[in-house]
Amino acid sequence: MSANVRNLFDDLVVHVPAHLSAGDLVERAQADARRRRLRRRLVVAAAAAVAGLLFALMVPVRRPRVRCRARPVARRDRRWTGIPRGLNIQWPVRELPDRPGPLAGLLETTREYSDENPSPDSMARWHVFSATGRRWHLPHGPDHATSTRPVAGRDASGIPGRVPTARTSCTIS
Amino acid sequence: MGQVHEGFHEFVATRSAVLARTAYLLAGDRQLAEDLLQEALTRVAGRWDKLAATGDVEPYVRRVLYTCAVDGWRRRRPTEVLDGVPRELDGPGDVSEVVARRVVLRDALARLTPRQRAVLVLRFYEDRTEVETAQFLGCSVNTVKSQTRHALGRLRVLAPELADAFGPAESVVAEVRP
Repeated sequence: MSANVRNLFDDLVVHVPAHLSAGDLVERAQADARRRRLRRRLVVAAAAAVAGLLFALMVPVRRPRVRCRARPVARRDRRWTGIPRGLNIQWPVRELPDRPGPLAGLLETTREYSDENPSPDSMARWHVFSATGRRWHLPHGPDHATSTRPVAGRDASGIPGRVPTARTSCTIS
Repeated sequence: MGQVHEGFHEFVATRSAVLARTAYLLAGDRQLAEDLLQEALTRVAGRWDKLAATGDVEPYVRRVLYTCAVDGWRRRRPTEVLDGVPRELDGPGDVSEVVARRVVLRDALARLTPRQRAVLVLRFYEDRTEVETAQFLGCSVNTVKSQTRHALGRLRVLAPELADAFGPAESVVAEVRP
């Protein structure tokens, strides 16, 4: 049976390839292959771009947020009017310039305890702020703050003048 | 690139005729067969370096031919009506019994499913074993056996004048599509 079927198939296809041109087949095959390769690369590039865009849109931009409310230590003392009601988000926070000027208070910021930040004290930063709520960074930390204290006073509650201290606890999240 | 082109060109020049016959049996139409062969050669051209290095060019081409013929490749092409006398058989002298037999066989093959046609071509035209056919088509040996049995049964019904070539009828009742 197999031989009979084979003979039938051979007889059916005996005339088939007569007109095929190898040159045409090669040219078309290579042209199509190039076109497909280019299309595949474009698709991959487009998919990567879309994926990158989606990733950028989905990942929230993490900005440090300072949430605190400066409070004068001597809250009942009505003399202190130069305290800002709050400190807004400020970026960047520059270093305190080396020139005299009025300051409203001294601020220590710390990060909240978390698994990623097991020792919040190491993240403490010192700032001073003006009556309008603008902050400056004290690069040398407490040492620098110490030199500032004669202006503000150790806790600012006992120094008469315009610069009380707002020793406050702030969190940066 | 020049060597790639030469190697590919040489392969096509030497093997395209044989491959075209297989494609013709699988597709059932000359134009579709050319498209099928072109599709296979395009895929070869895209990975010629790798295939030429391993020496598996022709098996790969044949696998692409069978895979495309079975797995929906024809769905992208317009369905052609295969009834009537084929173009290549049409002519003043084509009235002999041989030509009539070709037409009958061709029409009968066109009414088989692509998988049944592929099984018959692999088993009887390329003389593959049932195991090799199953590996080629990615199915079980039992599927190859059943597809072969059903395909031959349908051919006996569709082309009764060629029934002797398809062997004795079995107890299986072939389902005939209109």
